[in-house]
Amino acid sequence: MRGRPTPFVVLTSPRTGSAWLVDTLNDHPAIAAYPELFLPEATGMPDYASSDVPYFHGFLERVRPFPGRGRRLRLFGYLGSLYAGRAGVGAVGFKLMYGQVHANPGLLPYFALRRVRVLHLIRANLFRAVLSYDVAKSTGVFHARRGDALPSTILRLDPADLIERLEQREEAVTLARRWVERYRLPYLEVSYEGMCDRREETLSRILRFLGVEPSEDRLDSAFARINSVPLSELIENLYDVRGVLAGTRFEWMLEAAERGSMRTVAAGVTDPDAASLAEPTRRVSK
Amino acid sequence: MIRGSPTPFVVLAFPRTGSTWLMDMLNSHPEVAAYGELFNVEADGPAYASTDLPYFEEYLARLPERRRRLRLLHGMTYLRRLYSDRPGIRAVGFKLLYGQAGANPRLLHLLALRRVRAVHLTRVNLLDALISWKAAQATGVYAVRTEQAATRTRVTLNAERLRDRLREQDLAVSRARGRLERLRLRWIEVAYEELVGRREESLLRILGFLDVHPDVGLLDSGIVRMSRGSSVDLVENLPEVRAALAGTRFEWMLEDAEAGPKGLRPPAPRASTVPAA
Repeated sequence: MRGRPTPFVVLTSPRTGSAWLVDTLNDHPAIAAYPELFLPEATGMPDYASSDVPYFHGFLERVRPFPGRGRRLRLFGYLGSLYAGRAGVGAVGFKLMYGQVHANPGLLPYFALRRVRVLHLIRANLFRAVLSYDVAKSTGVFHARRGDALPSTILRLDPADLIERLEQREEAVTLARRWVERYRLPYLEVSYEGMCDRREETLSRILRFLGVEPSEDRLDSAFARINSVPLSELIENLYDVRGVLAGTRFEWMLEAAERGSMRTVAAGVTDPDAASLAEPTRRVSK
Repeated sequence: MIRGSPTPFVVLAFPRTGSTWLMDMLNSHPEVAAYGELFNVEADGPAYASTDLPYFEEYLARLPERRRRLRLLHGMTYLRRLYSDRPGIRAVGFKLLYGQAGANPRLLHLLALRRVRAVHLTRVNLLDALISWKAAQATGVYAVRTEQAATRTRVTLNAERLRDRLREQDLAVSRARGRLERLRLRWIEVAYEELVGRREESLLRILGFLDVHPDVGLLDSGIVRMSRGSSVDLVENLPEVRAALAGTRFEWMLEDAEAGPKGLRPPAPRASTVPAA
């Protein structure tokens, strides 16, 4: 296969299983999926999924002698080579956090010009995303390898700013949808929940969206899922948290999280919610 | 703002979000004149809240036919009349459903020009809203007053289209937020679940936003919640609906709906503050 591959981007926020998705997509022989190429201050090469393109920040430092000048031009050049045709590759994309869109104002106009397909990955249960972030912060483990034993933790969620944190996440999703509408970008929204519980169906939808044939082998990722514990053993001040969320539009999130973790523990199975990112051992370049 | 002119507001909502109840409630406040769906294109709807203004379509119909084409101009005049000074009234507003905003192009722009404040009323459990909508459509009863008996009926949801429907509705809510932001309207968002679960707090927030006397005790409505039980009891094809939503981001909506209305649920057990060893 030669010619221009389908350009795509996985637009998302932290703790949505995006690294797992990127790594899984990269397992497809006709897809080159990169991690957060626009990670602030990152230099060198990415350390999972496809890794033959340097981070944008490192690229800028190398090619730009005068900071602050010609950034947009460099950005377009960088994306131009990223999305350039390569043998055997039908779709090329990378993961992009909402904050990175703000930090790189030329991205959306470029996406509009190139008709980059936006795969918007959301997590409906924002409370679980917040919790997952706090657990990762508390243990220091944001990414876990398959089979890794994770340190257990007990944390306190600050009830004073919990609602605000959930609202911020909710607003961020709304804003991302607005970007896509404003720039009229080809769009597919998938959820973390769908990826966990309807993995094959969700992946098929994504592959169709990217115009790529289904893989003969099951797509896989080196990232692991981690066992979860009941919320009462994870959140020290669960009663306060319940009080803060009671009667709000976020209450269902806590209830669903409690139901989910209890179900998981009762069944003795791994909890998809805690699906975390692992440092894969393989490095793929396409 | 001109001294003495009331705060203009609009309640932007989609069906089955408790908007009728909210408008009726707001209208009972001595300083608020709240109207129903003035921009309902069918110029028809249940009588509640203030009713001393004709629907916009009715207002247009009274004009000579050749002048009716100037919709935008008449819209401006109509809004001027709606938001005009009235003795003792400090806030005037009406309810606008998403579909009505779409059917009246530029209406939101006119509202933005008048610096109208918007209360965006949503419902997070979109499945509940959909079931309620279907049931209301089937019975023709969209709001029930205290003295009326609620009619219960069973409904069949299109399981095949259900996820798309919920996804579209979710996007419509986002789109509405986007429009409010883009038009730089001053707005707040309140969810149906908050009106039910934190009634006083939510109403106080709204009254504060409208700059009227923040006393919830002044509010009253004869409109009551139609369904007392779980909304899923109304669903004829529950197994199909369950299968359609299993493992999707909407699954919680079914579980939540099955648990029944919040106010009728047993309280959550108190968690130990010290986790078990």
